[in-house]
Amino acid sequence: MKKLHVNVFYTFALIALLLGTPPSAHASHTADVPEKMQAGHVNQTGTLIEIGVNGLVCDFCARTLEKIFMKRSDVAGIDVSLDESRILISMQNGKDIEDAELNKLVTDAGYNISAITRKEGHV
Amino acid sequence: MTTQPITSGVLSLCLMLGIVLPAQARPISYPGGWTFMTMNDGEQNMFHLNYTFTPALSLGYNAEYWREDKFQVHSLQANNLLKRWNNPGSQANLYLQSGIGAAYSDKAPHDADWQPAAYIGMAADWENRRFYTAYENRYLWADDIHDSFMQKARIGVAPYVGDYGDLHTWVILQVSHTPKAQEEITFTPTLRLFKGDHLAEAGVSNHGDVTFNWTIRF
Repeated sequence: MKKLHVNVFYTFALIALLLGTPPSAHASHTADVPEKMQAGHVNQTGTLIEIGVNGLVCDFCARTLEKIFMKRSDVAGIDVSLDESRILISMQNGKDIEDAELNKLVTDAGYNISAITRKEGHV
Repeated sequence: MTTQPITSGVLSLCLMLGIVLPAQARPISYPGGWTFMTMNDGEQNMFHLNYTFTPALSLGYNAEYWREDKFQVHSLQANNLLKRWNNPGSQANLYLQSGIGAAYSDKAPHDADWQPAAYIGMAADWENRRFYTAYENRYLWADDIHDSFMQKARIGVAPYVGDYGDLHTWVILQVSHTPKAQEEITFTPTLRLFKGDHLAEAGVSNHGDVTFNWTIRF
């Protein structure tokens, strides 16, 4: 029975190692604007908000950011980067989110903001 | 009058799913979010479902079955985030977890007996993209059916650093201490995988017990 348990563990470990370096799902970038978002889409004629986020180290936990922002009808898409500790929010045309509201949304997700920058109509 | 425990069906399902609970990966989600956790280890099977009300509070239902002593506990559990530290490259958390409910045992001398039950514990963790440490403890009181204290510590390392959307892998060593257990100290090397809204852990303890955890956020 112990041998079975050990075999199960090593099988699981081998599967993990084989899957260990998957191609990144992270979107490629052209200048500051990604070609696509991990959720939703890039609205080329809308405002792009870049938010520096502290504590952004865990993918499983960072899912909350995607869920919170993608519930909003004024958001076209979101891109999350753990490497850069930032999120990009692509807004629908004519829409924006005030800094105070951004702060609340990111705090609700369990993080805090280090910086906010906007790029208007980035075509 | 004897009351049939609700648990039989729930626990059977838990066992079939290989449910596990505990070193609960972030028991609080975003406001409006649901979290489902299951856990199996050498002593018990657990099931936990909670709803996050605020960034610092989730409430949920917890069911656990202790196999050796043959008793079960059903409780309402509160998870409180006491403090979080968000740094540019790391995050640390401090939680309080407590529950109140009832325990049932049909192992002599309890004879199909329900008793009040409650538990309380603290959990803390720190992680960056490469390393992870965690500690948790819990004191469970179930009147004359059971009372015990346990504590666990974990240290983990990511063999590679993935970005958002990747399959993430962690190799973790867990040490648990249960003073009243037959085996007081248990070492469990564990493999953690997560992708998207799913997190799974599997390990084998130094006593040969398989552990399996599964967490889903939605």
